[in-house]
Amino acid sequence: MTFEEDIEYYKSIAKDLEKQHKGKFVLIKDKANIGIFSSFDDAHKEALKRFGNTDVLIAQIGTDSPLNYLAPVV
Amino acid sequence: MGIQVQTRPDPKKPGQMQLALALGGGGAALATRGIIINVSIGIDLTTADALRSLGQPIPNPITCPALVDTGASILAIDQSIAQPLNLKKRGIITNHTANGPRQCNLFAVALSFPATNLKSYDVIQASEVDLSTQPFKCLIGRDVLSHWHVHYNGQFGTVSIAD
Repeated sequence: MTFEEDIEYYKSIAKDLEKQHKGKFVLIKDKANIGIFSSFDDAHKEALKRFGNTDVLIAQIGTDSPLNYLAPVV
Repeated sequence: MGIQVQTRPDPKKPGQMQLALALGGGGAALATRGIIINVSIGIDLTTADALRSLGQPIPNPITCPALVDTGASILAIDQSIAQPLNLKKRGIITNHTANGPRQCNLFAVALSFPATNLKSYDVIQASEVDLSTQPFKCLIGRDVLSHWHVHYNGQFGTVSIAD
């Protein structure tokens, strides 16, 4: 499984998660929902505990992306 | 012209210090370059603890110039910082650039401000961006700015920062 596949998986379940967990953080690895967490830090700690230092997807559920304008980046 | 960094008592907060920057060249230089300060970026403390417990090496933090950027919602780091630290992906974020929106990787890092008394961050999210053509390798975004009091004196080319 790749990180990109986990992103696609999250997109497929995002609407359902939003009904009950808006604002919380979901940890996804290998197209599986590992758990819901109150903070990014908690999800990050659990990811390290379960999988070691490897790529995982931690996404905040149901929140708009913050405005992020990077003027110097071309 | 180098950046002169001084700490001085914060006149509005007795007992606390603020960082004062004289960027050199007066107001014109500040207007041209913006606010650039040195930062140290390393792997976050949680990951460092995990690596230490496994007996694995912990990469040394990297010190680099950083631009204070009110347009950035979070800390952003150049690929030349992320790669030697062997940072692992923790998510994605959409960055709006001159070339349109771009999906970028998110990492967890530790952030500190050498030679200042500004608060360090043991675990903070950072977006990966391409700053290869820039004189700075990091953008300090609004997540850090939300903890700061910044005074920008454009006429004299000085900046003071307190948290």
